[in-house]
Amino acid sequence: MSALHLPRLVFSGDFQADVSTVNNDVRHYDTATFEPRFQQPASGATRNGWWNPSGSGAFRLIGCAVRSVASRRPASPGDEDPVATCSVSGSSSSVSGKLVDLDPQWQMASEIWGLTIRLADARGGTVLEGTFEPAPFRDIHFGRQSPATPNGQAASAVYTSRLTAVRSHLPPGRSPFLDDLLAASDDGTLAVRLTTFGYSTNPRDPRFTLGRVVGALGPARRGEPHRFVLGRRLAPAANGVTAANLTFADAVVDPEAGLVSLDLGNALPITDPVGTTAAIGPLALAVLRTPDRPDGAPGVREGDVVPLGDLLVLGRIDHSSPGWLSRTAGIVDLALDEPAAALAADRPLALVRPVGNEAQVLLRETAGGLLARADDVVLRVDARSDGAVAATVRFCAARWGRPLTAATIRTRLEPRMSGLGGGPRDDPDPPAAPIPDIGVPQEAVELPPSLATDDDGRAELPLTVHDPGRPRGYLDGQVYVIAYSLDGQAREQQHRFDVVVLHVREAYAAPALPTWVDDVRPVLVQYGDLYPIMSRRLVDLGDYDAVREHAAIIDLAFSRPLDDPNHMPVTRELSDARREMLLTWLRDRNGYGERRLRHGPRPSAAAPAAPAPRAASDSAAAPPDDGRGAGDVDEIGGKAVALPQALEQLLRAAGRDD
Amino acid sequence: MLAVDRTLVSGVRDAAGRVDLHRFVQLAIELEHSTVPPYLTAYYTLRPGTNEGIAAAVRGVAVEEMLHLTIAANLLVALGGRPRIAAPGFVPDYPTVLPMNVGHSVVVGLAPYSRELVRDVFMRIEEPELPLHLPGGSADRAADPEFATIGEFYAALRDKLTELGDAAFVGDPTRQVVDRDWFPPDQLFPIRDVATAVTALELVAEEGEGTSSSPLDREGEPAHYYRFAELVHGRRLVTDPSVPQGFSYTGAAVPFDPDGVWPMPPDPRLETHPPGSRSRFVAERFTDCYTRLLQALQLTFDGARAGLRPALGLMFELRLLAQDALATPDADGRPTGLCFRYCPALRTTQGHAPVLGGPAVTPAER
Repeated sequence: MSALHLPRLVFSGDFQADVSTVNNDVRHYDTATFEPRFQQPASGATRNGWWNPSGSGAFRLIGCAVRSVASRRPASPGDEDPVATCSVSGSSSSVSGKLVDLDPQWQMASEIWGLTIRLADARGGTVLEGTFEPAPFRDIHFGRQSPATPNGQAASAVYTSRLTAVRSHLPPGRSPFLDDLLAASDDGTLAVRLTTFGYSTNPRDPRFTLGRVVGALGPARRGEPHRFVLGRRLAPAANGVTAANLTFADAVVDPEAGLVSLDLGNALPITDPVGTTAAIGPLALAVLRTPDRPDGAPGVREGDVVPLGDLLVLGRIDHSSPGWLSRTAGIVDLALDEPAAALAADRPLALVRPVGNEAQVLLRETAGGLLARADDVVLRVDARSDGAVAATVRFCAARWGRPLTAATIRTRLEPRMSGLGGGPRDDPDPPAAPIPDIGVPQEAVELPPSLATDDDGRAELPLTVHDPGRPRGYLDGQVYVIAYSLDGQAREQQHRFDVVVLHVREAYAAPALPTWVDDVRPVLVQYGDLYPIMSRRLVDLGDYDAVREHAAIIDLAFSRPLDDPNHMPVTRELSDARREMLLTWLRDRNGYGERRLRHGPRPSAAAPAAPAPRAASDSAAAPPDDGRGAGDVDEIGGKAVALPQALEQLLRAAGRDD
Repeated sequence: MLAVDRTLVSGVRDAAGRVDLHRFVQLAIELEHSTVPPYLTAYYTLRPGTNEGIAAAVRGVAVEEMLHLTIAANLLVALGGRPRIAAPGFVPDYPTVLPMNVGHSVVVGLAPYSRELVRDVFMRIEEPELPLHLPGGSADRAADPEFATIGEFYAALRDKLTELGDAAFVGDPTRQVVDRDWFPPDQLFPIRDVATAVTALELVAEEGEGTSSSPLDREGEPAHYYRFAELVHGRRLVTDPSVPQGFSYTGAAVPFDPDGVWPMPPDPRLETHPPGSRSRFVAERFTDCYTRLLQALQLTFDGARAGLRPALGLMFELRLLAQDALATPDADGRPTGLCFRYCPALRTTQGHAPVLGGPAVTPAER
C-alpha cells in the first residue's frame, strides 16, 4: 500500500521552509575563520550567509486544504464526506516542524523532522492527526520550473513517508472515507507523500521561503517500505530527464480495485511556481504491447514513435486543465480491466502523446520493469572508540511491481570526494577555510559488495562502522556515500541521488567534569555562528553569560528526543556523546541546587583550544540586493549541491556498469 | 489602580461553595492573561541588542504574569474546575478595558514600548491600592470607595477559600502544573489546600503590587509597579537610608534609546494587510503561533503530561516570529504589527492563489 492506493485523500497548498543558509557552505563551520559577514545576506556575487541567513529551520504547512477523497466503495462518498472540506496544517499546540540537512557536505536529502500533519474542520477542530516520520526528499528534479521567476528556484522533489500515531477525532461512522482509510491501514499509520516545488529563494518576492506542496494520504501496511513506493517506476532513459523535461514517476497497479494509479506530482515540467503544467501536448498512459527483451534491453525506447496498435491506451491525462496539479496532486487513476491488467503484468507502462496516427513514448517504465531502492537513505551513526558499530540499510526490489527474489544488489562505498558543500566559484570573497574531502578514511565503513534479495524481494545491507576520527578538522566526523545498483539494470534508470548517505560522528570520550572553555564552548560557538537567529534573537551560544542565563531552556532543548520539533541543535548533527557532555555540564549542581556551569579551563589541561571570543555580529543587516537566488551552476536549487568536479565524480561512479 | 467591579468582590464573598467560585477564578485567569499581550508587545518592539535593561524588566514582568495565570489556573483545577484558555473571547480585543475593570478604567492597547506607555498604562495596571511615596515616584490616586481593587478581590478570594476549608479542594492533585526548571518551587507549587492557595494568591498580589510596607516582593525584587516606575524615571530603585521611606529611584541609570524601538502601529489587525502581501503572511504566522500557545496551555491544564514544556518552546517561536513581523515593512513602510488573537481556523490568504508578482518587499533585518 502507499499514498497512491485507495482510499486516498489529496491535499495541496503552501509550505514554508525557513531554512538557515549560513550552513549552506561547509567552510562556515570553521569557527577559527568565521567572519561576521557570514551572518549577512548575499551581496552581489559575494555569497556571505547566502539568501536566508536568519532562517529558523521551520517547516510549515500553510493554507493547505483537502482537494478530494477517493474510496474503494462503489458509491464513493466524495465531496459529501466531512473530511473533504478539511484544512491541512501542522500541530495545533506545538512548535513548527523543521527542515534539516544531514550535513553541509550532503544537502541532497533534506529531511522533515517534528512535523505533525493535521486535518481540521472549518472551526479549527482537529479531525485527524498524525506524526510525520522523518524522511528526506527524493527524486529531486532541478530544472522542473521554467522560467524560474519570480521565485528563483526551479527544483521540485518528493517526500514519501508514514504518518504514525494517527488519531481520528471523529466517531466511527461520521466519515465513511476515514473509516475505510483507517481500516485499510495497520498500526495507526498512514502512507503520506508530499511533492514540493515553486519554492522562493528570492528575498524580494512576497512568497520568500514559501513554495507549493501537493500531497496525498493513503493506506499503509506493516512490512512495506516507508520512504518510497514499491510499485512500478517510470524513469528517463538517461540523465534523469527526458527531452521534454519529464522525470521519474511512480505508479501502482491494483487489480483488485481495477485501477492503475500514476503519480505525476513531480514528473511533469511546470511554467510557474503555482504548478501550471508546461505545454507538452496531450498525454495518455498506455501499456506497451512490445515486450522488453530477455537481455533487459527495452523493446520500445523513450522517444520512439510507435503505431497505435502497439499500445493499449489506459486513458488520458488531464494535466493541462486549470489547477490540475493542485487539485489532484498529480495522481491519476485509470481503469484497468482484466485484459489490460493481464498485459500490464509484464509489459511496460508508458506516457505517450499522439503524433499523427501514431504515438510517441515520452516516458516509460524501467527496462524489464525493474526497481530496487533503499528504504533507509539518511543515517546518523555515532562511532565508538572501543569497537565497531553496526547499522542496517533495508532494500526492496521488484519487477513489474511484484517482489523480485534472488536478485543481486551491488553496493559500493564511494571513494574520496572533493569540493562538496562549498560555495560558488564565482564568489569574489569566499570563506578562508578549506573544503574538506568526504569519504575518507575509507576503512571506517565496511560493507559487503552485494546482497541477494529474499522471497519477498527484500535485502538488508549490514554496515560495520569504525571511528573515522576527525578527518574534516573543523567539523565532526565524516560523510560517506554508498551507491547501489540492481544487477541487470543500467544505473541511469536510478535517480542520480538514489544513494545511501551516512554521517559518522567521531568517537568522543567526555571528561568527567566538562568546562565551558575546554569542552562546551567549542561545540556551542559553532551553532552560534551558524544560526544567527538564535545568537541574535534568543541566546548567543558562544557567550558564557548568555548561556548561563538561559541554561534551563538550553538544557530542555538539547535533551528533547531527536524527533521532537523543539530538539536542538535543529540540524540534529550532534553526537550522543557530545550531547551527554553538554548536559552533564548543564546539570552539574552545587549543594544549593544551583547550576555550577564550570567555566574552566581545567588546570591540568593544555592551553585551551577555544579561540579568542570574537566581536558579535552587527545586527543591522544590509538589505539583500541579490534576489536571483538560483541559476548559478554551483548553487543548484538554492543549495550548495556540489562543485562540479565532485558531482561529476559521483555521477561517473554511479554510471559505472558493473 | 485597576478598579474592580465591587460586585465581583461581593460575588466572591457570597459564594456558597467551590463551584460558585469557578467563574471568579476564571476571570482572574483572564485578567492575568490580559496583561501578557501588552507587555509582550512592548518587549518584542525593543530591537534585539538594544535597550537590554528595559527589555529584561518588561520581559520579567510578562513572565511573572504568565506565572500568575498558571497559579490562577492551578487554583481553578484544584477547585474542580476547568480553565478555559483556548476559547473565543479569551484574548481581549485590544484596545480594551481589562477583564473585571470598571470605573476609572484603564484602556489597554498593544503598542510599541515607550515611557509614556509604561507611565500611563502599565503603571496604572499594576498600581497598588496605596502606592508608597518614594522620592522621584509618582503621586498616588485616592482610592475611590465606589470601586474595589484587584487586591481586595484576591483578598476576598483568600478569605472565602479559608472559610470553605480544605474540603473545597477536590481537584486531582496530579493535574497541578508545576515546572521547577522555569519557576522555582517557592513560586509555583501545587495548590492542594487552603494554605497553599492562600500562599499562592499572596504571591500574585505581592509580585504585582508589593506589600503595604515595602516596594519589594518576597523575593526581594521590586513589585511590578515599582519596576515600571524605574523605567519611567530611568533609575533603579535602591535602598536609601537618607530618606524616611528607605527607598529611592537613585540607583543605576536605565538608559532608553528610542531608536531601538520598532515603531509598530498600535492595535494592529490582520485585515489591514492586503491578502497575499508579505506583511499579511508574517502577521498571520504570529497569530497562528499565539493561537498554538493558548492551545498548548489548554492541553497543559487539561492534564497533558508534557506540562508547560510545549508552551515554553512556543514562547521562543513566538519571539522569532515577532521579530520576523516587525522587520517586515507593511504597505506604508511601517513594521508589521503583532496581532495577538485566538484564531484556530486561520485561513491563510496565501493558499490557493499565490501572488506571482506584487510589490517588492525586502525585509530590513530578518
